[in-house]
Amino acid sequence: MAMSMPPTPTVRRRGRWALVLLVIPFVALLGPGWYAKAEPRLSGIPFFIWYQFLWVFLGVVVTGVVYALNRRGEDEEDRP
Amino acid sequence: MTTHWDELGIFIGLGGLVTVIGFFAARWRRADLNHLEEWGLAGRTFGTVITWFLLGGDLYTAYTFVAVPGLVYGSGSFGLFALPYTIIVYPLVFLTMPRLWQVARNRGYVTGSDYVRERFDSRLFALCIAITGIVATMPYIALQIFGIKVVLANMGISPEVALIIAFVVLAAFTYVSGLRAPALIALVKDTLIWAVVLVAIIYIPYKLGGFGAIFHRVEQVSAALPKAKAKPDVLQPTLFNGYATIALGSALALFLYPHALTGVFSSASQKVLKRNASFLPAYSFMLGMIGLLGFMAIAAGVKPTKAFGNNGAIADLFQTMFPTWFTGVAFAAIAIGALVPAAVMSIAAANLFSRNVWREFVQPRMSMAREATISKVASLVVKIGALAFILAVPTTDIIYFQTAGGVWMINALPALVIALYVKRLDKWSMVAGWAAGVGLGTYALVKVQFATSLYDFGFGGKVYIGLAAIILNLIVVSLGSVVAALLGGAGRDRIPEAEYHPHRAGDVSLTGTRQAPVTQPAPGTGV
Repeated sequence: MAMSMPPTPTVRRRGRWALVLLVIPFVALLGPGWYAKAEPRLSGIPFFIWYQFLWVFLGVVVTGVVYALNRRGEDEEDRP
Repeated sequence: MTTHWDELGIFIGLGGLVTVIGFFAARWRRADLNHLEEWGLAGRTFGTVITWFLLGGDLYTAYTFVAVPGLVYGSGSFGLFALPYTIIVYPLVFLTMPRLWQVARNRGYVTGSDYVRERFDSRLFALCIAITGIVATMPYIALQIFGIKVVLANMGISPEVALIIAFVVLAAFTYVSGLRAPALIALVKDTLIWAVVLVAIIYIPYKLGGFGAIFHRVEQVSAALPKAKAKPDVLQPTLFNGYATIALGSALALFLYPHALTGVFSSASQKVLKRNASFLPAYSFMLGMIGLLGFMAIAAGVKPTKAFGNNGAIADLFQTMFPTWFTGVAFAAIAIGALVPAAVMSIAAANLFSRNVWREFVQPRMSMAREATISKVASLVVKIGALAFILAVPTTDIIYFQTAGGVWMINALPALVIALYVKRLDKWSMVAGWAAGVGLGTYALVKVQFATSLYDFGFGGKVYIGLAAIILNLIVVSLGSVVAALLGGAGRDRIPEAEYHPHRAGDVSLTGTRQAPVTQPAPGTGV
């Protein structure tokens, strides 16, 4: 079994630290006490609501950045 | 009850279009549909765009579109937990699903339980996970029918006959075309839903005097209600922990569901999944907007009929606000939106049955063609079962089953995700952890009479039952595995690490022509 280890472990490691960034949306959203307030409003919409909508975009930015940082290592691996 | 003929005409027209597409799908990317990897996974060939439509159509179900605004309408901001839930799920998908996809592809797995079977060399444990999946999926299919039932009733036609017609059509094209049918129909579904939601989110606030006026009105309505029945637009402190735990727990459970894994396994590469982790949140934004329709229903003073309670809020809002022809489009969008997940769910449940029950325990040496046939027939049985369920059981009770489904499903997390990374998991501790988690979850659900998924376990106030269940599950798995290792019997992964990575070029055939390794008698004893 040990002989069939993946041949390119060093390639895969590059950019792996970026995975830590994926924690950010959890921190931002799993403490509703931090954002459960009405003010400041955005054109009448309470902060509690528009803050969470904003995080849909910020979440995409986070996964997008991680994907980009991870990509060089993955292209080697990710042969369909 | 008056019949709305103009709504109905548009509804039937769009229904006919979808039927044609469903049967045509059998000729799309033509392959041998007598092979389970083709019928049930469309040959694992879907690229980024199709996977986006398919998973979007599959995970954001018609029931969600009815229930989320219903929950917001009934209890205010708590219903918006759908937002954090469907945001944080994607970092998890990005992290874990490519690895699961890769091993499934290399080893020819069609279901999550196929992985568990080989990973732990245990057909008993694989059966536990398969049954969890089937039990969690069945009421979910029934709830999709419930989504159709709500709009049919609002159009003033008798739901029973129409439901049976809709389901015969659905069953027929799923049988013929397999996963290709919902994938193609998802294109229509998502286009319709996006159109309806974008129009609704602009047109309805315009008619109600803008978002400021809507929330002002919601706050007035909420202030006038007794405290226990208030519908606040900002979350109250008593629900902070409930909100956070249900969002996290639901996110952990979502991609363990068989229909989610079917969508994952049908994609063509790791890259497709990673890209979709960035593109799928577009649907989360849409779901959030649909949630806001619940506030609009409060502001508009909608009074849904007793038959569907709060879940009738969105249909009533559309009928109050929209011209009739557009209400027809919106209702067709919801109904077609129900067909996509119902088809994928029935395929996923059928694959679990053919692979992990029938082949494992009844007919181990059946041919590929026979396996596909068993799956096709099982998909029919699953749908008939769900239809009988929805016609016989009061709808309110079915929703409880779905609540329970999430609580049970989350207990597959160690088997399907943790097991990808931690090699030294002890098989029997895994079974014990699963049983403990399912047991605790069921106990708490009984305590609240299945009416909610929050329970006060004695610390942190009311929290999501599923999260408590998975914590207990993980404690049992960890302690058990440590004890087993100390006794010299540390668990090990039966699958070589290389199988979690792409094979070297030339080593992998492109479509499902590989011999599925799970068909061979496994080494070791088995359980």
